[in-house]
Amino acid sequence: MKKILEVNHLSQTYGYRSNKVQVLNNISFSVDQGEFVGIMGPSGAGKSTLLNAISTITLPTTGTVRIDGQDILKMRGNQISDFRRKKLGFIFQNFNLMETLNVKDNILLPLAVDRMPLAEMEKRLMHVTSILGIDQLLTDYPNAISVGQKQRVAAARALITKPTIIFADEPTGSLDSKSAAELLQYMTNMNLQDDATIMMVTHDPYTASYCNRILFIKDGAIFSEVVRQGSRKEFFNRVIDMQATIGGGGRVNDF
Amino acid sequence: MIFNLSWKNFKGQFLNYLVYFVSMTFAVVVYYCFSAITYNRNLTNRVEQEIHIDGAMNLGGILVVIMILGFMFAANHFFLLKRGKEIGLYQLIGMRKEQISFLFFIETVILGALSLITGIILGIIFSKLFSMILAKAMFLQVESLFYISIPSMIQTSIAFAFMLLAVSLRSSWLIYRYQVSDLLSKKRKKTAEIDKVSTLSICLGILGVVLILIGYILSYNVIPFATFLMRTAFGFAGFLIAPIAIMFICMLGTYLFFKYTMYLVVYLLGKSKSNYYRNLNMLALGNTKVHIKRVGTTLSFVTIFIAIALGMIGGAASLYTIGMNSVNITAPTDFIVAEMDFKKVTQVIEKEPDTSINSSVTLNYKLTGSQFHLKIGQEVNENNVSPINILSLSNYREFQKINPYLKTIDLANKQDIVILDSIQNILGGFIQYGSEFLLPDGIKLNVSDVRPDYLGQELLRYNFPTVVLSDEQFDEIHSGISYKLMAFNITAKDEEALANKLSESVKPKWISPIFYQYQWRDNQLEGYTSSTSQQAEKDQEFSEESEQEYWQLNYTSRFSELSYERREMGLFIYVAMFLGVLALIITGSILMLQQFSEAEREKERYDLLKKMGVPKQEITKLVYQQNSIIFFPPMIIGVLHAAFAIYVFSKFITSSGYWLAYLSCGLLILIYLAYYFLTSAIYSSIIQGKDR
Repeated sequence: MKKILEVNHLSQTYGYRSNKVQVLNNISFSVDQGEFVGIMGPSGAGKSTLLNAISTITLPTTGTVRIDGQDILKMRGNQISDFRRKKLGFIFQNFNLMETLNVKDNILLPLAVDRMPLAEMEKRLMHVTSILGIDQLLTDYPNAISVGQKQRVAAARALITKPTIIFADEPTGSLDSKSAAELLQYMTNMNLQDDATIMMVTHDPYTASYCNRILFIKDGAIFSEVVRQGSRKEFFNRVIDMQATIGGGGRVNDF
Repeated sequence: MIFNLSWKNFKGQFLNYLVYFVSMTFAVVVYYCFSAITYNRNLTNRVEQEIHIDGAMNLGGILVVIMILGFMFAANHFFLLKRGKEIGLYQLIGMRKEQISFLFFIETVILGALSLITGIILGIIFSKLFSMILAKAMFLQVESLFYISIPSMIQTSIAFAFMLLAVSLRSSWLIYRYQVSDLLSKKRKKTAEIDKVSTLSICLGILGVVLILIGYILSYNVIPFATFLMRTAFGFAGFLIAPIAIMFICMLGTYLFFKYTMYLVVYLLGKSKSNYYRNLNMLALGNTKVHIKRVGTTLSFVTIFIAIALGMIGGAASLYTIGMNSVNITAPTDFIVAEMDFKKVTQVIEKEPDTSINSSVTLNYKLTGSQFHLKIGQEVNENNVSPINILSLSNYREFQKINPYLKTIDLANKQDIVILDSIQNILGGFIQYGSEFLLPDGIKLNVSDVRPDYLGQELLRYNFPTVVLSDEQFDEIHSGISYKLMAFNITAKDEEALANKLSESVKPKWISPIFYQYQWRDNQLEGYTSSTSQQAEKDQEFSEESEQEYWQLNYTSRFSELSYERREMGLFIYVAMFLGVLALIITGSILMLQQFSEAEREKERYDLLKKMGVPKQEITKLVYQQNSIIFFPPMIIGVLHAAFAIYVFSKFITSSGYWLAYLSCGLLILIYLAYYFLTSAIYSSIIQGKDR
């Protein structure tokens, strides 16, 4: 399998001398093409910091991050912009849709920036909207659709550029459980049908159970890794157990 | 505890407070400067003898207060918007709304007091600058000091306290409306149905452009339009109604333009798919639609305000040149003196040291009756019977040597005359003479030309029209009376002292009355002009037939005329420019503050663009594009409106002073360009996060 993301000895420190906080501590892992990886951990474990550091948003203190073989930490200015546009897709907790554009235009926005021919745009639009089940909403405005649909629009926007990897930061955080389940099903479709590589940060075990593999982070370091082997139900139970372990209690390690 | 919290907040949001503080200080400085000039005894004392400077200043003061109030409201709105979270927090910890309002009130008072003190100190420094400019505009030799005026400090404080109270009331009202939920969840923006364009709004959009165009066409043809109105039921009032009607049409058109036309244009631009899906065009167009919905009304008012401010400067400029030109009309040479007082005046002048009379010309006028046609506007055709002054061509040419404003006159025939008409000086094109003048004894004269009158104060010539004719014809006129005026120039060291001394020893007064009575009978002009009354007893009733009496002014002095006009017009133009430029600066500031509020709201959107991989340059381009929609349409339409308004002025009043108005238009463009670039740069820095 082709390695899409390689993270080596990544550390992040905030603050100065006396009150230094080590948010990430020597993290190394890699993600293969077509994987659906989850990052879990308690609040303050450094999940979002890690995601920001590996998705070109912030600069880590030390370490290397390679996406598709390119060292993203050495990039500057427009190189980063081009890289984000062509290789990365983002899904955020609060959707971040343009209120002034309708659904179709929101999804097409990244392609328009890339000056893609109209015919190709339409083709891709049909494809992603059918995968995500929003092909009936194209002329609606964001404030006229449900939260679940909003997040699917955001997912479509991330997917339409055919990115090497999609970063999702708590995508179900603002959704009710039904919409969340729907969204995750659609994201699984993206992962299976389009072979999209997805990296998702969440603190919700149910959400995480849709992944193939989950990295658990505690106090800025990788605590353990759980890989899905059997059914989702069984995977879910293992995630719960692991979470309990990290939390310091639970069924496995007794009081 | 609460004040402690508030103090912490202050430290955290220092920059916001600074912006607010600077805005308020600016308001105080402007007001103080204005009021300091009103109370500047040094300056006004010299003027007061001649002009009521206070009247103009008070009116200006009211306008300044209105403008500053508008500006402070905008600044306060921006400030509160930035502190929405803080208000929500106070409510969340259980503070009552009265308490929050009180807290904000105390804060406003403290901040206001600080900016009042800073403003007054800066005002004292700047008012020196302003009074220097004013003295320059009025051609006064005044030593301007750092003038600390207690009354104007009090006035500024009172006015500012009043403005702060108004602002505080408004912010209390906003706090009362504020819901805690605003803090927790973002307000749902009302952007429904922004895609649809109803038939009505298409019609209104087109109507907006049409109205503006009609306004422009009417103002281009203002004279025919005014004449047309005069022919209708309005009568002579049509003359005044015409500009008001044009102004109203343009104002309505402007409102519709910003509310509907711009929206329509954006909508149509979005129709082209290949253009729409290029770069950030769709985002630019989508944002613009929402912008126009939100700020359309503000923009239309700003535009109208700009146009009025520029028009006002244009009007003031034309009045200024008329005023200055009137000196050349009424006193083309240093002195013009009636024969009777010539001796007295020359004695006074010769008594002064270092003063001598340079060149002197005696003007021999004849005053006799005439009958002629007069056309006012394009309507009334009047048959006039009145005395006219007659000057011979050789005498005119002699006067021309010492009077630089007189143009060369050539007469081809003996009967040809040239009318010198004072109305021609100002209201060109509104008065037309018939081609014939009939004098007593059957003398018939042909009008060959009508010229502006630069022969000096009309009152010296009994306020009658003057014609120039050939020497032969002049000698043949024996009816009426003749009189002499002496025109001369002097060289003097201190003209002011001379003028003062002269006005003390020879008082300006009415002298040498004449009496006349003319009638048009059997195609003949009958009647007389005489220096003694020929009617035994005066009729109580005034009728065409009865004898009329006119008096003559004894002399004019160029220096006193000139200093009067300079002071009056200098003050006038200064106040107009001050207010006009202030209006431009304040509207620009209001738009700028509005854009900053916008930047705060839109920060997240721009952040998304960055994460989506839109290059920084593209985002910056988008920011500049969005700001250009806010700044350029008001600028362009405002300048166009003003240009046409000045054109209308120039049709009504001939003046060469319109360059000042066009200069102000240029100034507007400069000020707005500066605001545009400044706003865009700050906007960019607000939306650029710290992230890569």
